[in-house]
Amino acid sequence: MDDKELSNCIGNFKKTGNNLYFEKLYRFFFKKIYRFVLLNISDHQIAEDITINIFYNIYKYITKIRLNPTSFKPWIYKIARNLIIDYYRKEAKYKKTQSLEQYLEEKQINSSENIEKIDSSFIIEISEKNFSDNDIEQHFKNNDILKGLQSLPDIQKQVLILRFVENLDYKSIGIIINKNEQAVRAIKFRAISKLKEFIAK
Amino acid sequence: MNSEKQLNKKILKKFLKLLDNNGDIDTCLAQFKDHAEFKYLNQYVAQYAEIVKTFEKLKNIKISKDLEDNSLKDIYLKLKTENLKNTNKIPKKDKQLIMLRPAYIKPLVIFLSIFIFTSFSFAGTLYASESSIPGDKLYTFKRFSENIQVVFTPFKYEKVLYLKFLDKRLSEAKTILNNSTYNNEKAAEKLFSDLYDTYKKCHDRKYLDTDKEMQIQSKINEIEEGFRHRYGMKKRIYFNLPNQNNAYNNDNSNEDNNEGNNKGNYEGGNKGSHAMLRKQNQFGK
Repeated sequence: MDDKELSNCIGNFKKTGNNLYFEKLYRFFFKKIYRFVLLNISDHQIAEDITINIFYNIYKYITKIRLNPTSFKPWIYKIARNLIIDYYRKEAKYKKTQSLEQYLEEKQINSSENIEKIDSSFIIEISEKNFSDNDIEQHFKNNDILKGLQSLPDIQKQVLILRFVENLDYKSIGIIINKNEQAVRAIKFRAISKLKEFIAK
Repeated sequence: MNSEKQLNKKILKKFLKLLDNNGDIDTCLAQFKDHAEFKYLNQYVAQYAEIVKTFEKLKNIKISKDLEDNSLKDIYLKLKTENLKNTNKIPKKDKQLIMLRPAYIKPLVIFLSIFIFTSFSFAGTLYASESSIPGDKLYTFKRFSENIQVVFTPFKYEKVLYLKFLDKRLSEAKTILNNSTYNNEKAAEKLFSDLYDTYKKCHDRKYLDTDKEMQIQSKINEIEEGFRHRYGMKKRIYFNLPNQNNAYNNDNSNEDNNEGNNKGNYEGGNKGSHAMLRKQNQFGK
């Protein structure tokens, strides 16, 4: 889709409110955004939920904001990034409470002699959940570079994905992560050097 | 990693800039072919190219069409439910009724009662203090409220306030003079100094007309004299007024030293319309 078509789509959707124009936008952007979310959160179901929320937000707020076709892309990715951050925040809270409760429940049910066994089984379950049989996750498992990507901090990871997978400019990446254009370049350079160190190990 | 250390940093920066602008790695390398450090650059680029390639593989993640369609349906469903929620909002009348539930009423009544009690008590003390004279317990409260009034009024409207204060001071002094049993010497002296200060403020800011100023000056003279007679207050100020037989000059007071000075100023006061203000030399002796 060109810039002209994009601007026409946005303008028509704002004027008429017809869902056909929204569907056009949706079909064009769904793959990209789903990919972006999935690479950040390596879980299919959560990625689905988050992408649905992203498009829901776009539908809600597209009429309230003035947008050029050039600033539309970064706006969408910004929404995606914010929702991903929200998810991580929620998960951190949930994990803190959940692990303790589970541990206490199991402790009450079983006798004190078997605690060591339970702990070991608990760890195995977690590890199995993280590495399920999805294609992408296996791809991640086999490739050293993608393993390194997961070990990077979130900003560096997101910059690398936006630059190399989504092929965005530095300017629009800067808009998405609220940083200067030169700062984005510096983050990218640092991330690549870190990845190289990881491969060398 | 040795290749990166041995590479000249300037050349690396140049190469990376080219890469940012130009997507292809081979075309960028071709420009650096004649350079002495081409070997190291090639090693560096090999790692870089590997990283870029692996990222490009990620572009080909397959997503089934069912997922796309299903999620679109989910979005529409979510929007529908949101609209239903908006239509099922509580009407305004019911909202007002909800605000009158006993759960809301109790704290509201407590808050209101406290608010009314404090505000009424404040207003009551203010009202009671208006007729107070210096030496009373409520007089400090009166002066305090006046200071607050000055703080909160803009500069434009301060004229009205200060004239009001002047009238208040004059009336207070008059009540003290009329009351023959009043014995608080210090308070009377302080009141007089306050009266003089407020008068001076009005005079400096030119709030007073010539006629009104004359009237006030004559009143101040009367008060000063009364205080002097009763409490033996040391005389500080005396306004020389043109159209008035000064009681002070006719009076045979103890302070004879000042008479000559007063007469001199008296003649000068005839010429000018403004009454002259003069502090006596004897002040403080």
